[in-house]
Amino acid sequence: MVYKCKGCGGNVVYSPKVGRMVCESCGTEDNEEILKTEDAFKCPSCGSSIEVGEYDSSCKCEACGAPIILDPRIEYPYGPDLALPFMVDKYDAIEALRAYAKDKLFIPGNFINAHMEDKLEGIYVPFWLYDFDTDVHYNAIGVKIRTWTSGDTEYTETSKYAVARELEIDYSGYPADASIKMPDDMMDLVEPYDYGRMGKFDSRLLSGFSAERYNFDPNQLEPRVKARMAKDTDAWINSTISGYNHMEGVQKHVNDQRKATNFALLPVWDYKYHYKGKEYHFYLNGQSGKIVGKSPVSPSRVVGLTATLFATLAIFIQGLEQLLEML
Amino acid sequence: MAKFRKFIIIMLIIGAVFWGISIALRGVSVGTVSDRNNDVYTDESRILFIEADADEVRSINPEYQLRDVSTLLSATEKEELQTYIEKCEAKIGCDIFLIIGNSPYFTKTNDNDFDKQATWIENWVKENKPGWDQPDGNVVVYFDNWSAYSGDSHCYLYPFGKYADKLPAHERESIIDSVNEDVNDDPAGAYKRMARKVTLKMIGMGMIGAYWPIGISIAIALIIAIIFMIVQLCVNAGKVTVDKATYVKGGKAKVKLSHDTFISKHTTSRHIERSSGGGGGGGGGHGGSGGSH
Ligand SMILES: [Zn+2]
Ligand SMILES: [Zn+2]
Repeated sequence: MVYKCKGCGGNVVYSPKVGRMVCESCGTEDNEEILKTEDAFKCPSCGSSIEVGEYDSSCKCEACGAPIILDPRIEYPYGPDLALPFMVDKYDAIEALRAYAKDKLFIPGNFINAHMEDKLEGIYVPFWLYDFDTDVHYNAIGVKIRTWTSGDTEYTETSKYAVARELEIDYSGYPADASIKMPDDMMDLVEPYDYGRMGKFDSRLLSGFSAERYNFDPNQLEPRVKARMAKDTDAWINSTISGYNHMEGVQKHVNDQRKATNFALLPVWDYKYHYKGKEYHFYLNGQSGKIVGKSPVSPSRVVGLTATLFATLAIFIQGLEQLLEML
Repeated sequence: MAKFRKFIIIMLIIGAVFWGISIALRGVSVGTVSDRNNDVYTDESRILFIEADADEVRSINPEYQLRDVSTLLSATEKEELQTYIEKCEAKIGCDIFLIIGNSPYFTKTNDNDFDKQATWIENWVKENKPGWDQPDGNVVVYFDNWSAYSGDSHCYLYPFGKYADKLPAHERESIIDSVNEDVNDDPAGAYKRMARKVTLKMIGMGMIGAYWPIGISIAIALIIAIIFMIVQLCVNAGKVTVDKATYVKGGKAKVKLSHDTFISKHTTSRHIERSSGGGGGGGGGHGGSGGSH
């Protein structure tokens, strides 16, 4: 389907800036109607067939540029429970990338260029959000060692304590991206999202952005979330234990009970940057603007800046020497 | 990038200020200095070579090899150094002599052998009566005796006249050390530094008098630059901005039980071996200071 302007018939897209549906042609807000075709994979605007990947649920018609939403991929069983709207628009994203590049010494000069607009894709990435009740039973022997010297003798006192802890941790909304094309480590880094701004899924949010249905079901991703959670659980246990040099005979029982899973769409800007025949992806949190990505390195910059720094330091240090010698 | 540029500019400005001040300081003199007043020692040459007689040396020990000290300084270097010393002398009103020798007679076999060099200088001054203000007046003698055969060269710095007090033992030693730092690689530069340092001490500067060879500056700069760049190259994809509390309701874990129960305590003791430091020191109350390179 496509959202069309009731006034002028133009394409209507979701605007992160105003938080409403805006007609791309006349700028009228919240004045849209749905245009549908029998075949969801035919553009309702121009009739050409939509070529999409297996998981895409929202895209642009390649023929006429209409913002297409593929109904079968946002309906049962793929209907998202929740969605967090984009709050950073394309121009904010470009500004954020500009600021980001300023801090990176070796990033190639054309990282910021005139074609960034075309290389930025706003994607609603499918995430599973897990709620877990975690019970922890922890028992260990805590060892305290104290040493002191008196005269020519060094004393070492070793004290042992039975350490027992029971914790209850309510994990809520623990995310794991359910998209094959988004790298897991990058999606983990782009967190966190403020779920306070998240609402029930509304298909209008997708208009003008890319989106995917989930590529994995919650059971497939559970081990990933549990592994991350286990680290957090250890950190919680450690935060309750202090004053010991080390622990012995640790017995730890962790019981994670999955309470709920929600399918949510979270906003990510994907900036594709080509450098020396390779494609680099930078991901922006569509809510906070946080940027993650492995920067390419410009060898000429590395050499040039290292030489500049070296020469400057040499002049400075030798100048200091000259001065100190004189004073 | 902007920060980097700022850093480079600031460092260059400060560096330039350092260079500027140090060059300006070289021009400072000790108030008004009257013309040289000595009609006994009138020779203008301040770089003297005292070379041993090869046959005589070999008659003592046929294995003795004499170092050819005449080639230590090239003709231009000698000329430059002479001019530089003359400038220094005019600033402080004091003769500065650089005596370069190769006699095995002075080669150090024990600490007291510095006395031979000191005595030689004392006699030379007494006999020739150099001095800026008067014969046998303000003189500084730097006598560097290059290895005759043992590989152990020694040098001696001896001030006479009213400036003698301005060069106490530790100052003399620091000058000798700074000369010996690179006298083997760059004798001309090292001797020039000697004249500069003597002059600065007499003017009243040279309080810090730190010196390190240019190679050290370059090495430090290179190491810092490389480390900085490696750190920059290791920048990761992004910082982790979630912690253990991010996905926990209320941001806190509920602690249902927390007991720390004492079980046992035991104490062990160990005897410590204490090492005592050895004594040392000593030193003579002489008018000059010696060193080796
Ligand atoms: Zn319109
Ligand atoms: Zn179309």
